[in-house]
Amino acid sequence: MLTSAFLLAISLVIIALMLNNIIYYNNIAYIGYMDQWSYDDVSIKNMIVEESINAYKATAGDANAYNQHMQGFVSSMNDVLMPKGYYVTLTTQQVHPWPVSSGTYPATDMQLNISTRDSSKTYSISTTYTRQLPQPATPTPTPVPSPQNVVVKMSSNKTEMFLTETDTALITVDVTDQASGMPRANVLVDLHSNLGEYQDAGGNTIYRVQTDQYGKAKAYFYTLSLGTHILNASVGPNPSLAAGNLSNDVAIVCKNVVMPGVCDHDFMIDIPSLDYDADPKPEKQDYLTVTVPIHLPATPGSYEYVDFKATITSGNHVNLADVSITDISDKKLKGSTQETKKVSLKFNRIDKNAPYSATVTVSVTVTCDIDHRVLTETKTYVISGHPPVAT
Amino acid sequence: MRDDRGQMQTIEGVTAAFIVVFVLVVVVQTTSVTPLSSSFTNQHIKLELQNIGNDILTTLDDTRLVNTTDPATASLLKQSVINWAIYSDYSMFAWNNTTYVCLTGNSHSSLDTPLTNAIKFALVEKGIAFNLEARYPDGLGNVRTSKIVWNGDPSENSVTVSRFVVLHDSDSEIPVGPSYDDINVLPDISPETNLHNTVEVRLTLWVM
Repeated sequence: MLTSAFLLAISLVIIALMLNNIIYYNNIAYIGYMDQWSYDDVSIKNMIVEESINAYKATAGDANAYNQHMQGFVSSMNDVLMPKGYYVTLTTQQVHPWPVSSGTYPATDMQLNISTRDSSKTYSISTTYTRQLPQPATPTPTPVPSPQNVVVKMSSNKTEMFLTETDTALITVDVTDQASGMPRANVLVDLHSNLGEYQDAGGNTIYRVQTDQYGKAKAYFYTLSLGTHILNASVGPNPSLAAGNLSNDVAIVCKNVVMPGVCDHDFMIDIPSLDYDADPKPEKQDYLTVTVPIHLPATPGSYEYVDFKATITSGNHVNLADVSITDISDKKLKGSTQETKKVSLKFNRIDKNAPYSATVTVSVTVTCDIDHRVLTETKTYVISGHPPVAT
Repeated sequence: MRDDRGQMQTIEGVTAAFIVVFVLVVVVQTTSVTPLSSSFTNQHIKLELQNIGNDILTTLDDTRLVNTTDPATASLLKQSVINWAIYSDYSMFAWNNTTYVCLTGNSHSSLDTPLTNAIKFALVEKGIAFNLEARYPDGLGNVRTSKIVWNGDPSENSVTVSRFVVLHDSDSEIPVGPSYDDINVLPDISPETNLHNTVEVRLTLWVM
């Protein structure tokens, strides 16, 4: 029976190991499918090809300038690729002469090597360049422009501005073809507003913008007038477009700048007053209470103090012992109302017939609610004598 | 059977039962019994997410703004980076279940690029969370990352796919970006040529 149990147990363990192996290899297979390398490989090759043609065009086939351009490009590409475990080297084998006539000609021959942590691939890449020279002018009948409609849209990056010389709103104009919905490039657009003016990036006043190849144009709106400004744009004097198509209205409200108040350091710690409480019975002890007023005068403005804290401590005791301390704190104090707070300290006279003295320190901490500055003030007094006299 | 042999057989039976039960317990705890165990399912979902992400980026990178084979014409992916730079001032956005809202100081109304529109169509409606970032060299040998859309930290089972695009100085006057550590976002790393910078567009996907 025991032998059978052992045999059954070993069989179960073997079956479990087999199942685990099957599942493990299934999961590993998925990880293999998830290799991003093949996507990156294609992306890198596409980039190299496109940049090669762009550099060939930008340098007009000049081999030195082309190589300089591509070296800078590969260097920047490696900066991004190396953290991912790739390294690219590009060897330019030939830069073909710049074509002098229209047509498609070979442009560059390169060898691209992409190294990863555990493999390396080399590709031979040849690019072509298509040059289109302007055709000689042929007499053609004068074209009669047929007005086409476009749709003009205007948008702003903000709906509120403040009356300062530095606040501007970024205005974006989109022009699309009414029929196809495609962006329309090189369209002159007139900018309108009931108040204020439009500026370019250099701060110069402009009244008209031209759309880029993506049908977009931008300007900055600037105003020194309070109130609601209505902005819109319309198609300008373009030869082939029906002028005057008006865009949507954009409303921008210009407000006064709210100047924050300033919390002054205007609270004052007054001199302490002493209250001597003598007990006629000789076996009973006398008490001395020190009270320090803290004045918070009324101040202009609507700001508030928060987290007001006043503490009183004592030291250098001669013939005195602390009995009780009354600190104060307040979460919020109106700056516009005059207030007086008091902290106090009660001493016990140890020997009624001997002189006494001590130092009393009062610290006030308060936070201004506007600029969150913490304002503090500390004063130290010496009390001494018999009978008590403040000094 | 009322002798020592009976006792021995009883002990043997109990021991055998204990061994079988013990091995069963150990085997059940160590075996991923069904193919729908969590690790298998996660791998499958991650593979699907990676395919979706790569499809989005590859399609946009292979589709040019207008119907031409001229490599000088920007792809929709490249145009997305340019639009983010020009019309959104390199701002960071988040998806609030309705639109892209600006998280940085510039109160741009929304993020309108071919990539973010495609993401809205392909991911948001399927309940797939995503982050979108741009990685680029700063010209000093370092690689920096700027968040374009940030919807929070991704989960442990997130997948990141990426695609590279090249920006040129002539691409609609890419503006000077805001400066962090004295380095502008997407700086011109090759002033002597018309190469502006190389950007890795990174899309991180995960299931909520």
